[in-house]
Amino acid sequence: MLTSELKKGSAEFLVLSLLEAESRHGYELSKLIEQRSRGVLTFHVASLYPLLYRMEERGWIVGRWVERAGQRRRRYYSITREGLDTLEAQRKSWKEFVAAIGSVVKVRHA
Amino acid sequence: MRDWRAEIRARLAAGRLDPSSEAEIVEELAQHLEDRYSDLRSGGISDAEAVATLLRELETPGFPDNLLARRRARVAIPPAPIGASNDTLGRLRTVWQDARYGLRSLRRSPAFATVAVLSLGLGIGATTAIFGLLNTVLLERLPVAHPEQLIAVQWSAGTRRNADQLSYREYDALSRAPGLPRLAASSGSSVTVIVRNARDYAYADHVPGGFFELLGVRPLLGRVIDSHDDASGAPVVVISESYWRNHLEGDPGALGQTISLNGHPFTIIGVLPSDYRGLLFGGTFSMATPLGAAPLIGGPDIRGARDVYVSIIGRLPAGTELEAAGAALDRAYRQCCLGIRGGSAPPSIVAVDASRGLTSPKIDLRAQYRQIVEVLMAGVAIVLLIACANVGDLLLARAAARERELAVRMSIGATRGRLIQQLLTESLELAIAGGALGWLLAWLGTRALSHNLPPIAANLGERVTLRPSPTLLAFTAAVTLGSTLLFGVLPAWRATRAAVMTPLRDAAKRGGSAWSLDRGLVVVQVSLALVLLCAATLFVATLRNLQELDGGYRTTKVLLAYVDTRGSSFERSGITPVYQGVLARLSALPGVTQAAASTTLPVFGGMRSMNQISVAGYTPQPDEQMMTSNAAVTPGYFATTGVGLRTGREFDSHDLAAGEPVTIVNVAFVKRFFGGRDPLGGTVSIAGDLYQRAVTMRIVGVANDAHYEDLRAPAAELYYIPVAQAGNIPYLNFALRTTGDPNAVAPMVTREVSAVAPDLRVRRLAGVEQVLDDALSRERLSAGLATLFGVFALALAAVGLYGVIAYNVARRTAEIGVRMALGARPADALWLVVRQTLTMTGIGVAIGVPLAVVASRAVGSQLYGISAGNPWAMIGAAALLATAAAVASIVPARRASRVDPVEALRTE
Repeated sequence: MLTSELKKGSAEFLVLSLLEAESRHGYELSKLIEQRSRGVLTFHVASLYPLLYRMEERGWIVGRWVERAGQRRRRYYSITREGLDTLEAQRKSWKEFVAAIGSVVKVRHA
Repeated sequence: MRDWRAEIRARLAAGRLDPSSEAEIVEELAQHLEDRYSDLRSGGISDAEAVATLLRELETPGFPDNLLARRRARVAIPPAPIGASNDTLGRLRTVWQDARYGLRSLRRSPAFATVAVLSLGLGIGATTAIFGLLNTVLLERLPVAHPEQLIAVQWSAGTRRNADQLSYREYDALSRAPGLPRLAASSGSSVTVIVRNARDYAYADHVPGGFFELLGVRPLLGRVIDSHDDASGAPVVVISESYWRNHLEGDPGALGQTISLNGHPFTIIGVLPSDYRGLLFGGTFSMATPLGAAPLIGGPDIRGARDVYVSIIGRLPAGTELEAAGAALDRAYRQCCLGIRGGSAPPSIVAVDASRGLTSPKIDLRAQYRQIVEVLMAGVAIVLLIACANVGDLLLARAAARERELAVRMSIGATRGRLIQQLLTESLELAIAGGALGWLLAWLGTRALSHNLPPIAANLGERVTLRPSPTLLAFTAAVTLGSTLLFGVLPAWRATRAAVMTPLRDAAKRGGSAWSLDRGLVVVQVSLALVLLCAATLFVATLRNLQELDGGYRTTKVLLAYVDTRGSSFERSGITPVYQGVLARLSALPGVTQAAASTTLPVFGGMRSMNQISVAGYTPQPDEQMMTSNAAVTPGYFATTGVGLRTGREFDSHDLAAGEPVTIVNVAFVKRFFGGRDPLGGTVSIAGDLYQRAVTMRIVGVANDAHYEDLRAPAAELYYIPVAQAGNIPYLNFALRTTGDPNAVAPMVTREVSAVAPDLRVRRLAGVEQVLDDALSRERLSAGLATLFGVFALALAAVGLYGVIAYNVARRTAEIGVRMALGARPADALWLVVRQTLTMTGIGVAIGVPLAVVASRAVGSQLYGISAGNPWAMIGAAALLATAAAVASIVPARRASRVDPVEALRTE
């Protein structure tokens, strides 16, 4: 089981990486998170939108209402410049962390 | 299908969002639920089950508050307000918005708010309390109408100036001269009062008609003394409100009743309100009689006598300059009065500002307290600075934690000025809370302070109350505002600059210079705390040195009593006819082994007369000052007080007025006038003058030196004479050696003295320990307050250190985590933190030491037995600070040593 803290930290990371390529609306994000994490992470309406709004408040993502012909309007989230920077930083420290753990593990086994 | 919009709307209702953002949220979340419902249904789940699942998912803890918090925060920041708030109403709305936002944000960090408010409360409170004292001692004006117009007329010759050097006749002539300010003379004497069959002693002012009108003091009851009372010498008296309440039970029928002053009946014609305390600074007022009635109470006939002096006050007409009035008075004096005084070199007279009261020519309390109060003020100013630095530290840490919030707000259009305004509003809110707490602390502190004033200033005690006077309130408001600027501006400037330069970037890589500012503030705190701790050490050492000082007299089991004949039926004969009877009765008291008396006693005080002397065999230098003090003592004085004789004998019952004049000199006297010669059998002569016949005394003994007045000064030359040969003495101080607690004997002393003569007055009665204690009360006050400030400073500096270190550890968690993942041990992490603490403390001490040296030099004259800049005081203070710093860093250091690499990196 994942603790809620860890879930929140990794969820931000996941949301940013899901938005890196294209804009998505909330329901789409929740389905993608569930699929990508193979069911380990689930976000329902009551946990997803507080997360999205917080990330929006931090300036990492921005939500806009988009109307498409023949469809009702929906709120699509896209990543901002700051969001991209944060994603980059998180990726980097994640790699550092993995490398650090790796080196510790290697020493142990040597 | 279920109405999901209604479900969401119901849950958001309590949040009271503005309608448009609520509508957006409802729309977005309802769409989500509709989509999820369709997906569940198409997966083969029944309607009821799907609805139940969705409702369950909506019941997540924290929802919808976590969502509302985000949206409300957005609403509170008006996007791009440029130009929007140019009208007054808009600006007011902005201020109100900022105030509410600030309060909310402070409520969210209760620990920060508490520490900040406490720090400011201590700083502002201490400053206000001491300013209250300073206000009373140095600034407050007399509680009369237009005190700024009051002047005192003083006689001056060269550098000498004296308030009591104009005779009544000079005053009379001056007051008739045209074109001068209105003048009024006053005098006074001690009186024995019999009021409702009780005996009491008081000081009566003698004032001319129109005196109280000139001051603008209105009676509480009845009337004041008028010119008819004065001219006819009517036996009438006005009394103070407190005298009326204490001795006449506040009886309104007291008007018209008589009280006896030195045996003569006086009719009470008025009661003056209690805030009138006479014209002397720190003085009291009991009663006043007409100047013309002074001879009735045994006083001299002020009108007739040439050499009876009066105090003269005057009131300047509105708009008159003090100097101009002084010059006019001086001109008039030269025309009218040079003939009155006759002979000697013509003096001049000056007008001095009397708006804050006159200082007694004997004890200039104001000057005595000015120095100490100024030092205290400097001390509290330092405490306040440290408190401001402390809050500044906390604000910096907090601003860094809020960098993202600030960056977001700037990115959506808030200007930097707007953000600074908002942060300063928050600071002002802290300062106002701190100011309110400070006022409370100051009030409590003042109450404590007013009960611990030295006895000499006890009259001030009841006046040093923290009334919310406009001056004090203005001072506190100014201090509060000033502190806000001091601690708020720099962090606000820094925080918003960081937001401009490095918006939304990775926390670990940010803000090297924010760090140095943080550390700089802590260094300032440490160095200022060192100054206060050094001062505290020096004052405490001074107190201890003086307490342990050997003054040359017995310091336990001696009871001292001051018995006075002035204002009694013995006024003219003095104490000489009765003192032997008093001594005999006191020596016979149970628990008393020995009794003696003297015109002056060590530390207890009294009067030493001074005479021009010549010593056989000693040739003075041409300009040598031969004025030397003497004390009249009874047989057994040196044994009773423990002063002791070095050689020779005490005075005895054979040393009578008619016998051979004898004297005992002290060691200092022998050193100066006898060099290596044997003083016993030598002679000391007093040249005769108007008041004293010429006399030559044979030295029969040498007494040890004792400190009579100032404990700090070396003993001066002194010669003792027998009371029996000293002529008419108005009072004596009795010393009683007791076998047990001297205070147990005290009640009997009053009784025995009255038994000899009911008119004799025991003015003061105290054990020698109490007397010594009182004599050191000023030093005790300095030491106590300096220690208190030192402790404040130490505590504030420790909190500041803790805040900065804890914040630093939190910020560097990731770095520490990586280091530990790469093999650093917990001890290394611990050392990292401790090293930083020690560095900051070390720099603080290095800066503080020279400051402390300068500061201690400034108070050097108040020290005894320890030099300003004493290295041990510095080392002790530095060690104390280092210990406090170490304690402050323990918690953060341990936290650093326990950083879990996995946790640490995840926070990134």
